Amino acid sequence: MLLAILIGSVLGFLLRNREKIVKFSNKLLIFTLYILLLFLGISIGKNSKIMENLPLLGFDSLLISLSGILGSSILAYLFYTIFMKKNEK
Amino acid sequence: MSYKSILPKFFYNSNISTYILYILLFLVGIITGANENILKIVKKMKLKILLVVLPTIVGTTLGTYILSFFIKDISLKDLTAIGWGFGYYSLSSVLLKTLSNDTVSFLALLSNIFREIITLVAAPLLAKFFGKLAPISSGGATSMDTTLPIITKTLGAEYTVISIFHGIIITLLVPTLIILLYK
Repeated sequence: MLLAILIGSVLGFLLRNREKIVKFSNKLLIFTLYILLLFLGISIGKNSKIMENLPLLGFDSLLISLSGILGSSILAYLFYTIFMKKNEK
Repeated sequence: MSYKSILPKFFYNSNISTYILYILLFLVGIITGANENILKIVKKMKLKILLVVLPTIVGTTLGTYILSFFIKDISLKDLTAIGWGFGYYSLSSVLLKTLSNDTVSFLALLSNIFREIITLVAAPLLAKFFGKLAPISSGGATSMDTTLPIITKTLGAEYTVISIFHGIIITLLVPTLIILLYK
């Protein structure tokens, strides 16, 4: 899977001036994402374990996002005060 | 409880999603590789700009690590992977469906949507309490597109470049880190 990303990046870099190809890749990316999200939605709806625990899973995911946001904000605060604030006038 | 299937079998074939996933990752590579902004920005701002993704990655990882002491029914590995979605809910959930299971994938979908929405709403607050880098870090991969307008509005135009650069690098790191985690 990593190889797929790597080959893509190199190819993308080589083709960066071919606007049509890049635009087409962008459209194709969104299209494939939608298809996979459709598959995902179908298997979630079919999965009784998920459907029965919906409120709990919703709460868990809220906690996960908050912990990520707080953690990165605190480190961003440290980074900003140590490295960036000095350079600002 | 069992659900009767009304869709043809084709939709439940997980091999097909895996093949499409490979195409998707390939396309993510092409688009980030073709992005000329990255080279331009690194040249202009020097290598120091590469460091702005560090608080986002380390902070999110630490945050979910601490949370793992309180949430017992999700493994640390899965929690870390969900956090490493960095707001890129579509790609992270689709990846985790293949690499982990449906429940983890669903959690990744929801929590990364939340991350985007909370950043959109709370960007001014985050900037006030945690400094000017916080809304960008909080936005994660979305700091290059969906949360960029509010970040520019809150922090001023001089942060647009950093925000876009940060988003591009995180976008590329989302699949890379998650795949490495399950290797």
